[in-house]
Amino acid sequence: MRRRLLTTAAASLMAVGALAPASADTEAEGCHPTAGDLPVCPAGGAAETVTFLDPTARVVGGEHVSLGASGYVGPFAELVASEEAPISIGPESNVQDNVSVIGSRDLVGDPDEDPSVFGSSGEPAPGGPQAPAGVEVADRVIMAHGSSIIGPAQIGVQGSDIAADPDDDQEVFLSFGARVDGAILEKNTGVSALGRVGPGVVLRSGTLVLPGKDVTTQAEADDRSLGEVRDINEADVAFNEAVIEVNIAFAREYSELYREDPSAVYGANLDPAGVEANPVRDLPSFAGRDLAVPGHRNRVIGDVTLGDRFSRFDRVVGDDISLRADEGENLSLGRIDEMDDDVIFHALEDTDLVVGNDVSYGEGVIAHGGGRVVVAGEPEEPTVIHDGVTLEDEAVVFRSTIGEGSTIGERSAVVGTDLAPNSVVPDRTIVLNGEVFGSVEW
Amino acid sequence: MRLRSTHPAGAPAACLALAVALAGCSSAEDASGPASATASPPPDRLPVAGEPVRLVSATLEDTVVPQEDGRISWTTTWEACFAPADDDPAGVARWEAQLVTPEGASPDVEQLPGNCVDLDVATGLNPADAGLLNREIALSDAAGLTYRVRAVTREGTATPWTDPVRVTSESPPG
Repeated sequence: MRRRLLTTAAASLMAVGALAPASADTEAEGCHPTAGDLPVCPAGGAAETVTFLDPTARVVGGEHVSLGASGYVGPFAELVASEEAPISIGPESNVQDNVSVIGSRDLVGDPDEDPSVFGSSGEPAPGGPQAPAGVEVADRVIMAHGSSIIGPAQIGVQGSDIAADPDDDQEVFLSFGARVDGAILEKNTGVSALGRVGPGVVLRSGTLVLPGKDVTTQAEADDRSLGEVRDINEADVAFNEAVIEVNIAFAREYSELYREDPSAVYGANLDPAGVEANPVRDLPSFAGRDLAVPGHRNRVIGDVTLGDRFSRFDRVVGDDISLRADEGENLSLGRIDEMDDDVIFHALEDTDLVVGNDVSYGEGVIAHGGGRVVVAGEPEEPTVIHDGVTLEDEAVVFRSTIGEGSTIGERSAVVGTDLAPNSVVPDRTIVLNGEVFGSVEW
Repeated sequence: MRLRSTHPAGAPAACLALAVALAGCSSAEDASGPASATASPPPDRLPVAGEPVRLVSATLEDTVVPQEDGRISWTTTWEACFAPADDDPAGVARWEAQLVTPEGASPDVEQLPGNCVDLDVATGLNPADAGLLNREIALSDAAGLTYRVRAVTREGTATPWTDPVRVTSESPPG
């Protein structure tokens, strides 16, 4: 899907260029990810301050993209900008796997042509302010796996301190599959998994959109009793700060890995190690055989244990897939039934992730490691997806056990839950701690 | 994250009851001020010796303060307190914590102002009849976090990190 999008975007850019519209007034300073400054931007910068872009990240209009220091841009992320719709991303922000940052909806073609990609923007909130052209992302913004921002949008630029985060470092968090579409998010805000903020809405400091909610009016963004948002607390801030630090480390470590061996940041290959708990770099293994395949179209990073031989893996999986065990922690996938494009698996330190045999993965599936307390006082359960599970397009699994033969519906999320075998989660449903929290409203 | 002094096991319930009844139970922040933990310089390489510290208690505490306009201001605080394996706090020079998220372990080591990790894990200001609105979803989000804790001794060694302690978990089980 995103591969098709890029084609459309590139074509659109050519058309836009021909029309020569007025350019945006100013474009931010920073490193422009153009030839010579990829994948390390700027190429000659110190590892402590450069931004690393995974070589699979796609940048359109790189001269109109500005990246601050110590940023990380993950596999298959895309940054689509133009002169009139530039993108700037501040220092210490991260753009994780398969994230899309689109300067303007005009750059991705006619949304009616394939509305499943970015849908339609909807009507702006009445009287709502409009962000400047393009996408402006401040420092310390987390764009988690599969999230997207469509301009005009502004993230973390305006706003204020909050009681839960009184220090100088202010963050914004966009969770798995979240979307900001023509909105302004102030600093100290967030959007939970599969949540959305629509055009003309301002998400005020101290506000977090709940999972699956679609905030399309200012009242929904401001009034907690309407059930779309909650207050941000100290735990949210602690989480954000830690995730920022982890990704700053990724920027440095992947840059160092690239400078030691440029081929090591391509295809199926090493994790960058560098963390205290896992100082050794690991290769993925295919049916028991450790293998580096720098030329592969997907990214398989670190200690990923696959049940398939490489030849079968190559045959049954789609494109733009990111299986990351950056910190050398085991991520284990059994025999794959089929795996569509844009699938993301991420397992990190203390977050084992185990997947059984004959699991079917739809497009844009996100599975993330993470433990949970099932019986107080007993060891935690890791995230496990058992044999024969079907994960429909854009399904999200996080800190859960999915019983054998279960189906997770399209754009549904299962979090902190132990699903019995043969369970069926309907499309666009959020299951949280074993109960249906609500529907995905968009 | 803030340090709070360890309080008796009955305190949370008593605090909640008093807060509702008297509209005046002070929150942790009111009582001790927001004494933030500080991040130490890059991860040190202290020699590791001894046994990991042990988790003494982990509690969730709701503080509810009615407002004059019919709303309530409320906070749920998670506190986990630790003790040296040999129960000799005099040998501890400082306490340190490392936060582990599903996105990875923070490379920062935070110095705790005491032997407890103290974190607000849910908060709100809403109509009283809505109760603690969205408390459970906030706790669910917070449960994605774990802390590892260690003690640095006066001899300049560090204990091994504890196993991760999940935020919102209670010990003994609540």
